[in-house]
Amino acid sequence: MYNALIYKEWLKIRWAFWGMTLLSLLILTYVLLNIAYGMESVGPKNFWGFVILMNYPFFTDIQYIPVLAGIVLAFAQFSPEMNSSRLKLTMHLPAKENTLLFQMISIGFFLLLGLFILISVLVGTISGFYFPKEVVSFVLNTSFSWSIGGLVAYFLSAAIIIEPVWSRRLVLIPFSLGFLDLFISTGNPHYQLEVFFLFSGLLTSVLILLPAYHFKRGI
Amino acid sequence: MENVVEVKNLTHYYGKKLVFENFNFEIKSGRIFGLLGKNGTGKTTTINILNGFLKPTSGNCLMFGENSYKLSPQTKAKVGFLIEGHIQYSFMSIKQIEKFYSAFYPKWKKEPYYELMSKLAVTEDQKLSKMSCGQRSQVALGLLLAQDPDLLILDDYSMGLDAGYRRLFLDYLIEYAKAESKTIFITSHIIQDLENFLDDCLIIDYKSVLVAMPIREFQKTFKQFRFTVPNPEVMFIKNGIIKNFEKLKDKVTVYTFAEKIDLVAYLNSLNINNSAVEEIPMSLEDAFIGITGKY
Repeated sequence: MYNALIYKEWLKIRWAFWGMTLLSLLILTYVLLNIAYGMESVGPKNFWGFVILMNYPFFTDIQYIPVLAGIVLAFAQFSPEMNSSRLKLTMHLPAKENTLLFQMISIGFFLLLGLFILISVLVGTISGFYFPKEVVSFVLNTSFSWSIGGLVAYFLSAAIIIEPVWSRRLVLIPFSLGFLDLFISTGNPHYQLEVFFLFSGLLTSVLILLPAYHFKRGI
Repeated sequence: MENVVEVKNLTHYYGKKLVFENFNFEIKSGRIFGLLGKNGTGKTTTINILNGFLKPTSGNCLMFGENSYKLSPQTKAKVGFLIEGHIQYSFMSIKQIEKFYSAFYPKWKKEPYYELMSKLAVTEDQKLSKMSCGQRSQVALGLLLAQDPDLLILDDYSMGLDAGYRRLFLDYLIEYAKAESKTIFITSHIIQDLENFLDDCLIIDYKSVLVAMPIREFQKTFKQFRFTVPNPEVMFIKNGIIKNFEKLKDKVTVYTFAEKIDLVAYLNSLNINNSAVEEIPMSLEDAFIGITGKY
């Protein structure tokens, strides 16, 4: 059954996923070219100076990619379910409803996770090619919180899309934006904050149960 | 015969608006049951409650003995559900959607599905979103038949379908229901299509049940009489004898479960001594309009 569900969800989100992957690769290419250009134009020593002493944000072009990917995937996956209340079809399948919902979001979660790991590996490799490991560590720590932000954006967007009542959506949207800002604006969190980000971020995945309950109860 | 569906004292409100109150009915195994009513009388609401997509304000709804709001996966597998408008996953193709559903239903039979698809001028790779409403209805029906459910719930199967597709839909349903002794719960706006299809009917009006009986009994006992009245000012009221009436100047049409002799006696009690009370034969649609009214 899970394989069939993967198949259905993949049919919905494959173009959004490949589109976001392509966009990420294009932006990473831009980051790479930007570093190469900086090294070329001001010299490696000066460019290092900018980066290390003046905190030149050479990789912030990828800052909003995870959030954008989360929102786009949630939209591609859940808006067809809400169009003409197709979620009824899914909820009528002979399986436990909450299990089906968690399986659905787990598919988006793993796809996003794969994309974010790819972005992190590439940005780490690019950084490692030009900079010392301290800079690489800084870059990866920062992109970690952005990636968690991307997952949170996915979970919260899914909850907002599934919520059947607009007034409740309007409450969820500012809450979600505020919560997301925590992940996006925080740069280079220390270990404890990373753990907090990870747990609170994953915790938002259960939020989907509330709008699904509203949908099912017809309230 | 066991009850597949039991609805007991069902009451539902949307906000402060009462949809129905103390609604009771049951559907026996192997019967074709029609829920008929005008727009806004609560047909889709009833179906949503039955399928667990709406929690009623009060009352109980049982499907195969289980509370409809908490149906087990095993019970859901026994229920085929057609959503109003033949809604399906329109991003899938004919082949993809069959592959998807087949994984969920243990009794899946793809033959009836592909047999129906072969009648449509479509390819297996054609997406549902690129099909006509009639074609999509056949896809939805084919998926239901392939699921081989014990109970089929069809919410307004006729919506958007021309006469040919409606006939095709019902032909398949009749064959399926009779051959395999399945139970069907159906609603439709096209009443005349159901005339030779239903076993039992429940006709509802705003907030109340008007008729609950086998369709043949309804057609046999519900009658339309026409007569003229000498005094056009005479007033009629709906009561035990007169279920509904229409009056145009001195011409009166009454709808009743009473026999002609009882109606004439009642008219005599109103000082309407008219021997020209004529019974007018009715189709199911005439009878439906007769009992629910035109407005």
